[in-house]
Amino acid sequence: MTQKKILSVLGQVDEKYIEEAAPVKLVMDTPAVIHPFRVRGKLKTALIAAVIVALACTTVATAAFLYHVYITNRDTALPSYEVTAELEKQTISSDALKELTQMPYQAYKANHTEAENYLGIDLLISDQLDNAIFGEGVDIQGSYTKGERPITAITLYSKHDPGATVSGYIDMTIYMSIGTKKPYEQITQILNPELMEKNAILSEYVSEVNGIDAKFAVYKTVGYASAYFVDNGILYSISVGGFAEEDNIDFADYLKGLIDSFE
Amino acid sequence: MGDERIVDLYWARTEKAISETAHKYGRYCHYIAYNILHSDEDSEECVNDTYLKAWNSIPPQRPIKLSTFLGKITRNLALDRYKYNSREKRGGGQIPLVIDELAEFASEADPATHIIDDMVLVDCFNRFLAALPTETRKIFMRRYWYFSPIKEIAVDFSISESNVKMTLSRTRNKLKQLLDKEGFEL
Repeated sequence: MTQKKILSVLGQVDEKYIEEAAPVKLVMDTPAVIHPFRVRGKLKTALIAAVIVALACTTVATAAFLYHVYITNRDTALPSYEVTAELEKQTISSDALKELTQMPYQAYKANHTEAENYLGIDLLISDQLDNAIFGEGVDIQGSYTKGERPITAITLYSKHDPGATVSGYIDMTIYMSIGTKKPYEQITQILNPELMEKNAILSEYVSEVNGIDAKFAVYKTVGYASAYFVDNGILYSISVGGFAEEDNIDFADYLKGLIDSFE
Repeated sequence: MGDERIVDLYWARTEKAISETAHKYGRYCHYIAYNILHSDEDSEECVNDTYLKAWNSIPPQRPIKLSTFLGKITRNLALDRYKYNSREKRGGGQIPLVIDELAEFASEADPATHIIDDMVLVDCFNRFLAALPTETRKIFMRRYWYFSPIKEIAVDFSISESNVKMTLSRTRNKLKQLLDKEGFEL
């Protein structure tokens, strides 16, 4: 075998060995073929870009907002709200009254003098009525938020001893709505016959003592009567109920007596 | 342009096929021819002949790897030109050196009594190359297929020239042993 024969045979070996050993630098690189964007691809690219830009903008805006909130509130102590299913009754104090300015709904028990001091108003409770309140004290319910919604309701619960003339008991409730802008509408709503018991006797009473004009609902069958009137911008709701052994007790008359006691 | 596209141009009989071939593989072919002929002028003619032969061969052929297709043509043309130049006492390049190296295990004279089947021999070479480590195989092919100078191989493979020579020597010995074992008379 000659050397030239070997060279000739080598020239016929598998091309993969020739290609493998080829000096790559000698072959001109194939220039990258850049196809023009197709319309569909262009739209897809634009949509993806738009989504990315939108996400970026949203992220930046959110971050800026959170940063602003953080800067604004970093020195603010967050209020602690505790919502309980049961209203916690306690002896009212000045601190407790102040808490009426905070949600959630709270109820406190106090005497009417403390309530007057706190509210800075006269509850217009006469001595007669004041003397009649001896049991449960005053429940103040409501909230007071930034002066826009003052105390919405003050409910005075008491058991009233009707005295020697009757035996049994009478529950008396005085409900006062303060700051109600449309008290008469509220009264109308309360006295809407469709909302009342069918056997309610609706009437009106004008006190000759103090001129208070009250709306009346008397339920003889259940021994209950209520009156509603507005005085000095405050809606009062007075209701009495109970039972008496004597038949000569007229809850309506008794209620009229209470209205007359307002001065 | 990709090989497939260039071949398509040949099939379309577009002269651009030649320019694209020259652009992509001109240096490659010239490198092969120059290593054999050691003459720019002869190499250039050889490369041009390569293009012509490719033009005449495609179609009907459709080479998958255009580089080796052209490289083989160039190599064969250059070797033929070398034979011609040798008779005319011209030339130089790597061929005399390569032949000297191969003389270690191959005779200069061609014994007419032994007819060697090229196909069998090529298969033997392929098995031999497949068994070599990749880098050794590349060095071997660079030297005996591309006729690359020892110095250039050393630079390309980041090894010393003596290391290249040692690798080639050992590989030749392995080839000799294999050919002996296969019954080829050297």
